Amino acid sequence: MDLTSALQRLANYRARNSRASRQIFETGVVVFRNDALHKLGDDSWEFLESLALAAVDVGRIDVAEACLKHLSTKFPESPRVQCLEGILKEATDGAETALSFYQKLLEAEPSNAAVWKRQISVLRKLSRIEHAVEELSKFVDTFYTDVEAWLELADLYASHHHRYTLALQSLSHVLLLAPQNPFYVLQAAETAYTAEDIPLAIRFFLMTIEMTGNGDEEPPVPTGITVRAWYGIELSAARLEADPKLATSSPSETRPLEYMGQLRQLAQDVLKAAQADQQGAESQASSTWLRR
Amino acid sequence: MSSPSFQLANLTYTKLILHALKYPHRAVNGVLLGSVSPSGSTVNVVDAVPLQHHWTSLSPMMEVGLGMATNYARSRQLDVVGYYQAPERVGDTTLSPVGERVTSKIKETFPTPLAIVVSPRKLS
Repeated sequence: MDLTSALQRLANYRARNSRASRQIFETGVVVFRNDALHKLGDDSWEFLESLALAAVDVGRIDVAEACLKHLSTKFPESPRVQCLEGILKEATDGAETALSFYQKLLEAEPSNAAVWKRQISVLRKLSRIEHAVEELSKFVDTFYTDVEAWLELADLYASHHHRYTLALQSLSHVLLLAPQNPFYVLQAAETAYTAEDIPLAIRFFLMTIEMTGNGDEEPPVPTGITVRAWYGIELSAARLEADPKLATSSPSETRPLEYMGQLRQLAQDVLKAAQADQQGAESQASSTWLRR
Repeated sequence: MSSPSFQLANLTYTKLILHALKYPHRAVNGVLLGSVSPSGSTVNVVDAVPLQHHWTSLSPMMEVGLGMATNYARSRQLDVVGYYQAPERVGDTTLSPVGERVTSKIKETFPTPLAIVVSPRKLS
């Protein structure tokens, strides 16, 4: 791979915050081989950070340490660099050692958000879930606009002890902070479904479909996450048919929609249209399931 | 009735591991397909259907996947005999809430389902 395309690729990974560690590592090494760090200019620091993280993921601590050295020389006492230092400690000295490192930094500066989030991650890694939840709750109280933190809290609640209502509450803050993102609306829909709040789930699924607006075909042919949302509609409508009391026992007291039968039929038509250009086992699996 | 023993085919085992390795920093899950031996004492787990590597703690797509996998299993004269998950974190060794739900659902049609939790530590 030549240098220009390597740099382009790396910039893309950074922009999308993708965790493609093996690719970032292999591409990043090209930059070093060509002795081209200076060609990145101001981006070179973000590049080093991204390469350090990728190096840790693929087990090349030597490369990570080299990157860290450059960064800590340029940005001494930076919280972001301290995080990287901590992550390296997690990889080499273990979670408990890293935790003490983070606690010490936080005692000196309690509002160091980057290190605080790292501390919470390590608590989760050590399976100290309640402690992680407690810290993360304090964190979002302090840094209310941190969407990533609210998402992590929602995930913590959904993954441990069926706390789906609390997960939904966390997601409601995400929706307030980032109202244009259909991805989060879909997550709320699936969380509501998991919490057995079917009327609420249906509304969120419909909202997702509205936000991703797949063209003017009749019926619409969905792609990407819209397909997921339509499956959610079909599944929810089927649940309501099978268990009508779910319609009136919504924990969030969401009113049920009328015309659920027609909505279910529409979902089936849409999903069939989505599978129309696919062949073989996949489309057969879908059409068989829709006829259940 | 005593619980049967489970025999994992190479294909099944390989698929589980490959699924987990494909998404090294994510939790993954799926279902297991198989059939009971004529004697009734062994369940041969001959195949696996990988299902999710995103929002594995949320249930609707898992339900759809389970439904489709069940139909597919029937087309091959097999049953859905269990569930597997490979957690994200080294410390996660217990069956997740969704895992419990899916396994209960499978129990409705297959009374002795198997639940597998792949150990991330052993994988690394």
